[in-house]
Amino acid sequence: MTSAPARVSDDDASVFERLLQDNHARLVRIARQFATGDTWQDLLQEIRLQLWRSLDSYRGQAQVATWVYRIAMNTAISHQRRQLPAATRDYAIDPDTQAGGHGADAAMGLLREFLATLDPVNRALLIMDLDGLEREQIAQVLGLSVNAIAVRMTRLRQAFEQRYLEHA
Amino acid sequence: MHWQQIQQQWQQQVAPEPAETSRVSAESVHADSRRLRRRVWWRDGIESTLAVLMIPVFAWSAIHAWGQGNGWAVLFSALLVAWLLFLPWWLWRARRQLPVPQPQQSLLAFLAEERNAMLAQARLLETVWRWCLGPVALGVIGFHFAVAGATRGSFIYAGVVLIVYAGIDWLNRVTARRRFHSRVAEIDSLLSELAKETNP
Repeated sequence: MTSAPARVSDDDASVFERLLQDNHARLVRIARQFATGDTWQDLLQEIRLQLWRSLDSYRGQAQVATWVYRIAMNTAISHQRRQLPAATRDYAIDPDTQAGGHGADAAMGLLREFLATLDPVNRALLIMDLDGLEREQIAQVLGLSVNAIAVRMTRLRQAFEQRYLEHA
Repeated sequence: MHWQQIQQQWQQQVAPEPAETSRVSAESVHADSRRLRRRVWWRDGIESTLAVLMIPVFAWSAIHAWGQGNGWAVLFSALLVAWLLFLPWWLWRARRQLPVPQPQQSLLAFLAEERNAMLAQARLLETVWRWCLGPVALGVIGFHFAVAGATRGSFIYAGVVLIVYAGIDWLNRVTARRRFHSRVAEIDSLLSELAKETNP
């Protein structure tokens, strides 16, 4: 059962703070993609809480990235389901992330917009791929086969490229 | 633009650093975790305290009715006292038995556990008539009839109690449907779609 340690030991504190430091940018990106407007900070805090409460299961994990992504993605998807009714979820586009500008900025804007239209599994998958995770690791986070990940990724890249080309 | 370039740009995005997100200590997260836990304890504690505070009222009613030789009133008062003792224990046990999804699992396993947790919470709400409203309705209506007799006023009282409790039951069922069953259906469709893509 997941539970917070009774008190903070120096060891736990240093492990946890190191984890947060190493993964700060990733966690912020996940929170911003799964929450709307300013609520991303609430989601970020929720992810941190879950990481802290799950710290016991961190020991002995060969794949730290997989462990972090599992907790972050599960928390984010669950948070999104609680916050937004299914009917409005596809339109949860942060105004700050909408496409605009030129070149790289436009591509990033389009990418964020594209991510916001995806279902939670595809969104999680694409974020992990963009973050540079191997397909085996993504498969472990989602519990899907590597083949399924490859097929989904191919479709997602094609869909994005098509959209990008249309925009360009 | 190649996908690798898009990946690079994505990874190079600068994370916004509001004051409270730039430096987070384990102590502060631990404190938040404990604060949330304390909030749950408070909620459970308030429920239990209210139940316990009501016990002397009905115990006194039972003793008073016993003195007057009103056996039915004693019986219904005793039923309410027993229910007030039973309720906090039952709620405590039911909450402990609720599945807690573990986020360190794969998404597929987490979704399955989250679904089970939501179904268990929906069941709690849908059966509120059995473990909460039913015993109270029986106790208060029975006690009223035992004390006031089968008068027109007693029947009106019983009708009002039943209508109010039926309304509460209906609200609980609506909440279960809107808050839990709709999400369970959503998770079910996601799980059935993903089941085809799992490892053999």
